[in-house]
Amino acid sequence: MKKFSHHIISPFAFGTIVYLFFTLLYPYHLHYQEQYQLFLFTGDYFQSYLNIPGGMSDYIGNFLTQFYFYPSVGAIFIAFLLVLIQQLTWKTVKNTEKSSVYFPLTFIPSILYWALLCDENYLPGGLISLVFLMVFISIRITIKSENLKSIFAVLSIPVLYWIAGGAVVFYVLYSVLAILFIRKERTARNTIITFIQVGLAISLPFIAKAILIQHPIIKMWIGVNFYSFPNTFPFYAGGVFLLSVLLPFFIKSLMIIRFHFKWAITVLYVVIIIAGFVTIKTSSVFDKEEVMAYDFHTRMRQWDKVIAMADKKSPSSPLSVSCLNLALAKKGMLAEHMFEYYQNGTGGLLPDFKKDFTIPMVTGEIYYQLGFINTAQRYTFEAMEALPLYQKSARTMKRLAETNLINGNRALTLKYLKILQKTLFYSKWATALSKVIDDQEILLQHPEYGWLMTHKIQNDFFFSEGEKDMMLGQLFTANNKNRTAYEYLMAYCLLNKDLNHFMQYLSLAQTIGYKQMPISFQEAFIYSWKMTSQKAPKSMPSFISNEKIQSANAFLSKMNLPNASEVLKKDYGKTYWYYLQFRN
Amino acid sequence: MKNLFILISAMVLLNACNETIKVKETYSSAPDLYPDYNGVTIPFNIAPLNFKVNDEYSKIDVVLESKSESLHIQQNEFADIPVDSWKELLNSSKGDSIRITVSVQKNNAWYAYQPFYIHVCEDAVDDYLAYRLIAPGYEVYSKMGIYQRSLQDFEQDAIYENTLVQGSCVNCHSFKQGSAKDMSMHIRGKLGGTVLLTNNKMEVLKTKTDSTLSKFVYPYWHPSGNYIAYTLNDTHQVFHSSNNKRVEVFDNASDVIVYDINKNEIIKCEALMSDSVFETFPSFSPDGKTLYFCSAKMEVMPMEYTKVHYNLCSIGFDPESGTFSNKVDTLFRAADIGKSVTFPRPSPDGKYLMFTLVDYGNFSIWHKEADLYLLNTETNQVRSINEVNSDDTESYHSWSTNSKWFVFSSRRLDGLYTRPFIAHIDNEGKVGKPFLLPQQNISHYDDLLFSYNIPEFITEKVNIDIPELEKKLEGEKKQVGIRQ
Repeated sequence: MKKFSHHIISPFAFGTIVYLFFTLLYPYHLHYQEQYQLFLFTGDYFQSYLNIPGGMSDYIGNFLTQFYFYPSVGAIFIAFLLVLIQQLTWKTVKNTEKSSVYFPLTFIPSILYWALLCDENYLPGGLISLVFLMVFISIRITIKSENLKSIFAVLSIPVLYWIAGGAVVFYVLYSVLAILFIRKERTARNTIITFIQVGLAISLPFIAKAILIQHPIIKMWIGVNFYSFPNTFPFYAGGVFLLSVLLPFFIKSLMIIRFHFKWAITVLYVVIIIAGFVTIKTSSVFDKEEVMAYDFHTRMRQWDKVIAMADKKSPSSPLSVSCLNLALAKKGMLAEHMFEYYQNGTGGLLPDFKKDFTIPMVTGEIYYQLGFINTAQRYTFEAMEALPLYQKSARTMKRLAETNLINGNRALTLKYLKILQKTLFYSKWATALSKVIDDQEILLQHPEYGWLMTHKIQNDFFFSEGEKDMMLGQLFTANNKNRTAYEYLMAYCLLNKDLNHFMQYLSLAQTIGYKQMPISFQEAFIYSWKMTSQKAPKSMPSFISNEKIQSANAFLSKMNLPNASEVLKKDYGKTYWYYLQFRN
Repeated sequence: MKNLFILISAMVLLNACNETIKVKETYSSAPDLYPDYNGVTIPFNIAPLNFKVNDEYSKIDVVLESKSESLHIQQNEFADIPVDSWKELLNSSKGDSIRITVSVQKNNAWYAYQPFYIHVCEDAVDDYLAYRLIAPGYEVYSKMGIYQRSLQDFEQDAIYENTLVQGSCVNCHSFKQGSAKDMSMHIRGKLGGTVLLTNNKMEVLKTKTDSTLSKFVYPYWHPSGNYIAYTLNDTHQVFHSSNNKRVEVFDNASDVIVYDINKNEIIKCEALMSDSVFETFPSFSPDGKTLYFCSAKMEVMPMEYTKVHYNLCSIGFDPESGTFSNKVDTLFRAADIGKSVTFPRPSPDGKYLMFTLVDYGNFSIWHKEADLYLLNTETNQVRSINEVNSDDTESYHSWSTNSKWFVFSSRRLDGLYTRPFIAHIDNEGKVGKPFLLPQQNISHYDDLLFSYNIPEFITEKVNIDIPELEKKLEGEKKQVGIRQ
């Protein structure tokens, strides 16, 4: 059997681990990034990126990001690129140091960039930029002809600048270090060429600024969108670039190991594996991954998966809880089961509007499912406009097509569908919908669109963020068969600990036609009854079970104990009473 | 090698030549076009009106004929007319019409439509159009900018883009009677200020004072270039829940002031700053002696928002002393008919006053019923400009410097994204069929997620020194004072 070298096995193993990490442990981060961009297969879209230094890296990064729609596919690209960086790093190291003992160290730049990618705001464009840098360095050291090398050294500066932005600075740095530390590079010709490179690298951003006058000079220096927020200077990404360039010279400075070669490599592998594990572990934020998972399943209408996630581990962040509550409502379980899970107030039912792109996106999903189509549309539009880097988003575009379809705005729906038809993964959906856009019968039969079209708000009112209970009341008044609206209204009162309004609205439960009064309603009713009336339990309405009354009596008898919160948590932690008394 | 070259050249030439078509069938009607250029009136110096037929086809064949010139093109998706040939054609058709015959190829057979005509007017339109491109959103904004577009071709470039100062907003661009050298625009945000170009000299103003309601908002230049009327507004918005409306924008308070550019001071007038009245949308008459504005009785907002009806008013202004007369005239009592006037814009020749009429309020862009109206200043007669109005919003409008053309924004294409239409008005006040601002790529408007906001004709390109602007935005702004 052929014996494979560790030079082949370890990059393969590394790539496999990266792939498995993003596919199995971190897939929702990929979904998250994918939904917030809109990659179009049009010449104008391509040109808009090509017009700017570093734009090509961003364009390729965005091209790859669209495959995050399927994390198992997107992860292949990430794994490939990180392995490619390692291989290119090894190539540059070999140029300065012939011994392969330090091979494990060539994984460092890839591991560090992997760690950066664990932050959802680091974009793949930066990774592409690093690949371009390493490719150009590799080409530089591959060329043997001195003349060709000189020509390439000069021409590569503007080319690399335009496709990879500020990466060119590190490329020039490599040239300078090569002259300083590699004897054969230290020629008069190379020195002159390097001076030219330095001059070009310094002047190019200023030349670009003179052409692209509507951008600040800092953009001309950085070029690539390493980070979602343009005002954040990409120090960490810059650090990885710097390290990638310095590593060959650092390794060259290490002592040459001639004995115990295998032991040395093994030790280095162990160190790299441990350090890599710690780096990735500390960079990964699984709480965010969880929120993203809730959002993804909600977006995909996978209500059972949302509930199953919560059954495994009750969510605690307002966004996750709001997704869970929506899933419960969609499955007709909100009123019955909501207090079986952690509830964090009305913010976990209908989060307040914020001028960002995550909260309005998730909250817009809830308003959409409730039937507040205009509000959902506004939240979606705001989320799209709040996207950093002036991006548009496939998810928002799809939702805008849906809200306009439901509102009967044919021309606008077609506009958004036409745009989505220029994407890879939304095109099929857009084409299918555009074919039936004029067929009301088919649309009305659609389980979601049909329901929303027939349950539209007819009487106009201004949406008030500060009076959500009133808004829910208006929605329910518009259609008193809208069970989701009713349960949201009641849930809002319960979570707001507003038992007066809860009691007022309870009689409306008749229109919903519950076979049995939901548990949370019973619990709230008993509590309110006992707090506001001295009547005996036997005079309570028939929809309250005796078992509940006894349970309430037991709870109330222990409620004033000094450590009541702890004592009651085991038996009553999943009741409304416990929420009312002990949750802020 | 030589033979190969000849062969390739021959193939290129063959491809460049238009295929002679053999029509299988001629339809009885003219083609259904996008954009609808059938019967429009255009200036002789406009860019090519590229179009497509609203039908499925593999090729389009177009013959454009004037009395002396003819142009034949054949393309796949849409008629992309070469700029130079189009210019020649228009120059040979001044005061006349162009006959356009369209045929389309379907399943390898050609089908011809009845010809349609475009009327070429001898009146030129100004060379450039300035507008803001902004997504028609709510409170949050993304990329935006003020751009200028050559009307003779398709070239567009940015006057200011908010890529320059991340997170900034830019609005309310205004020019002195179409002069690109005299411009006002506001940049909002941390580094913001009012950018004022006077004969290309730039200043950035800090316009909020202790005794005025807000920073400067809606501008209008005095024809002398010595003054700019601005509004001061306390603007809010609320959001509709039902499907036919999205946003309601209203003022809780608003005033009109005049800014004296030379003295850097605000001129206040009691009649324009009443506490019981909303005053807004000022504009000066071409002789500079009258200030038009809209005025409405104050109501409790937003509860009584539908009761706010703006009348069209005017007040005398003495440009020499920068003082106002005491008397306010009401030119059009829109409130009496349950309507509201916005954006009064006098034609430079003084013959007309164009405005938008809506059911209530002042933010006409969100009113589907918004239509353009024309007041004849000689007869005081007001009429709806039915020739250009549609079932959807027609809102902001601006006159060309020769008073023969006006540009207006309309939401007629899709109900949301405003697009600029240009229409001709002749000496008798007859308005021609408007045409959508032509674009080289026929899918331009379909793909564009921005609205064309505040289209304004300008006679030449604005030339802002961006590095100087960056310095001024980062530096100390010039604080405006108040005339005592």
